[in-house]
Amino acid sequence: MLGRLRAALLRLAVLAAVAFVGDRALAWELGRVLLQSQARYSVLYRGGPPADIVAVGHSRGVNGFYAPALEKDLGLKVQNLSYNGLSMGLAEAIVRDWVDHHGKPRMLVIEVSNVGNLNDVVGELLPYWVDSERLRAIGETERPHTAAMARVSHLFVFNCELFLRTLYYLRRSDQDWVNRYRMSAALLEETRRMGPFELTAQEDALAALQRLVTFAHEQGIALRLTVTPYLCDYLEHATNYQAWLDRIERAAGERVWDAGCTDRDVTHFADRLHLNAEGAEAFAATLVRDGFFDPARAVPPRTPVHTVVE
Amino acid sequence: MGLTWVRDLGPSILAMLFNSLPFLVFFAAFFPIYWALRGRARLWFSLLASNVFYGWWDWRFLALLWFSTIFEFLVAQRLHALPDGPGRRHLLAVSMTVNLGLLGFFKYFNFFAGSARGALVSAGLHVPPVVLHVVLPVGISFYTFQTMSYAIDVYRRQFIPETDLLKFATSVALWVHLVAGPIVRARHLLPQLQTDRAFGLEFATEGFEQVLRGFFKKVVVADSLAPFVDATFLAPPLMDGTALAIAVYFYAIQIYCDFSGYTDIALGCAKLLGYDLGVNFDRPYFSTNFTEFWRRWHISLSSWLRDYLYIPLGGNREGRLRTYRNLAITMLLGGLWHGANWTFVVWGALHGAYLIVQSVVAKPLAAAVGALRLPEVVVSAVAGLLVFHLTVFAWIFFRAPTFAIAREVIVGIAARFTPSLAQVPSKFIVLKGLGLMAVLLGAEWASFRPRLVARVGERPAFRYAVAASIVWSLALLGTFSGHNFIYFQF
Repeated sequence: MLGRLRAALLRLAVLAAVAFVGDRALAWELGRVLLQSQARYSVLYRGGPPADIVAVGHSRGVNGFYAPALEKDLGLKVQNLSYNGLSMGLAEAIVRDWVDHHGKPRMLVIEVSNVGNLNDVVGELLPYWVDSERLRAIGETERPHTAAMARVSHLFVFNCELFLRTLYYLRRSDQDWVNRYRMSAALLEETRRMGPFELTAQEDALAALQRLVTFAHEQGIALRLTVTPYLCDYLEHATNYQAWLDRIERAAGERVWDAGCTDRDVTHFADRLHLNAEGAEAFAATLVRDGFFDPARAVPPRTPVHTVVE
Repeated sequence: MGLTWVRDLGPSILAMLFNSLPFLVFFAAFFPIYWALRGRARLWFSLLASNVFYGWWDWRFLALLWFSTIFEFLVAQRLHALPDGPGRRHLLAVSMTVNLGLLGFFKYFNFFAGSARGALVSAGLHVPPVVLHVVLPVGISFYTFQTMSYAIDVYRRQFIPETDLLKFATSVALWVHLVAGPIVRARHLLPQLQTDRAFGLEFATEGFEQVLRGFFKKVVVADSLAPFVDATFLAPPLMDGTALAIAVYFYAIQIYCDFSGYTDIALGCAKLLGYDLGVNFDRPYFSTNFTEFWRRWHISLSSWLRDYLYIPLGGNREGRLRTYRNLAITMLLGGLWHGANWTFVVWGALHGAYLIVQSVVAKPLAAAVGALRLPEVVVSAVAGLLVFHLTVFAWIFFRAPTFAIAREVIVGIAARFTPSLAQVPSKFIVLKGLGLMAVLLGAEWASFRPRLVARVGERPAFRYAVAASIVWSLALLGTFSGHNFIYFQF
């Protein structure tokens, strides 16, 4: 029986060797493919020419800054670096990395409603840890065991939705990524019936925002802080919207261009948090019309939001 | 340390699940010691380890397991010793009452009490709610059925009871099948405990490959589909009809991969320990009728229900109407076995109805199809698709926590379905899921070709390539948040 056990161990060792070599070889190839992609972070870490305007935020930034429409209206190169769930701490790392790899943009636009996000999504950015010391540092702290697993299997690094996206955008830019559907009547109805809620802000995120603002000033980059449109029926249930904006402004030392409740057309929304393609195009036109991208233009007064639930 | 694991990988990572770190540690320690020991020392070790495995969930469950084991051991001895007559029948009745009583108390008390109260309240009577705060012991449905079948087999004099409590207890508690099956009959496992299992290289290799396939089904397929299914069934009115339809199909694949994946890991581990526990799933979604489906789906349960419920009720021997009645009772109770909820009963009722309708229309339908002279492959494909879709429909009730949710899913698909993914959220997750479904069904379809299977099996290089590909797919596509197995709740 000992002989058979030894043979079994030998088979296991051969399999482990094949699996290990394949893991390294396939991961090397996928890493190569990753950086060839036209997806936003592959463009970032591949390096290249600067952009005129760089935007950053979480999913509301993804859907709120429709780069093709902005580029068409402004005649400038716009790079949206937002990603679903992106926290302010990660946004800071990504903007600094952009400047390192592409040089300074003329303007940095920050969608600040991600101040409620934690750094959870750093695991999703795992494919780029190898290219970014900043992401890796956050990842090693926030996701120590994801980092350990990534050391065991290099293929594991590519085990995320973001990598699937980079494959999808291998041959074409992802800057037209926007929700292309309309909110359902049921969701609209539910939103109108929902109870009160509070918008949140993490202390870490506010500190990261402050650092990012300081960084932009030090680099001589013009800055816009904004809140892109929410579905007004949703925002009207937030009991602390004005106080939340005040807190962000105090932390950043900058005024926020408030567009939170500026679009009352429900067909412009994919859900209560996100614009859809029609909404994003309309919002881009509004921003251009109102001089949002003109650094000399003062931030207008906030849009009043009538809170319907106390 | 523990807390960071939980934060990083999810709370289930600390449970004794086949897809968890504690299990990997457990198995790595168990395997070499198991093979280093011989005879009764190996049995004692297996029993002890199985108790650790089971007690990891909640050590209090062990008391129930031990009670059930010792009680059935003694009952079987007595059943064997007693002459045929009322005494034996009464003793068997006592055994069944105790077993079903335990199951009923822990699993169904609140369900029946709640249902009875609901009926009384709707009749205008004011009855205070009666709720027992008891935890459902993991695996109780599985080991109760196992010990019941043992007592019945001894009563029928189809099996001579085991006189060695150590062997009997090991057969009941062996960790590979304890918490979620398969429901291993004593007459199948106990003979294998009479002699030391020998380590067979090919058998163990087969077992290892089966474990890998199980991990692929669970960690790569089932757990990748789970988040979309969960999100969709949480709020069906807010979902597009296409998303609902996709979620229903995803669930059909999720539950199959979840449970058959679990079974593959269990059976594969058993093979690594030298035990053959049979087959529990045999590519059920390729069935062309419902009888075949139930011969391929959860075989250890369906054969249990056939042998200990359907046939004793009369099976198909007492005329058509009685056959239909027996089918209906068997499937209703089969549904209820899965969980204390009327939705499971409806799921069972639907399958009962499918079997009855199939029985009614089989002959005239076969004659009509025969007259059309369609190629066999076309007839099989159409029949297979029909069976698959009706099965998928029934899964809606299995998955939905309430009838209201099931209704919203069905109405949502009927009213809001569009043949487009435009309104479907999480498209990348959906595309990944569709790709994985295609790979799984493609592999199962290919496995029906014996020459191809033989060719792959004969060549070590192919087998290494397949095994390595599964390892790579686990790393690249697996979900490591330690999702629980669906059947653990049953």
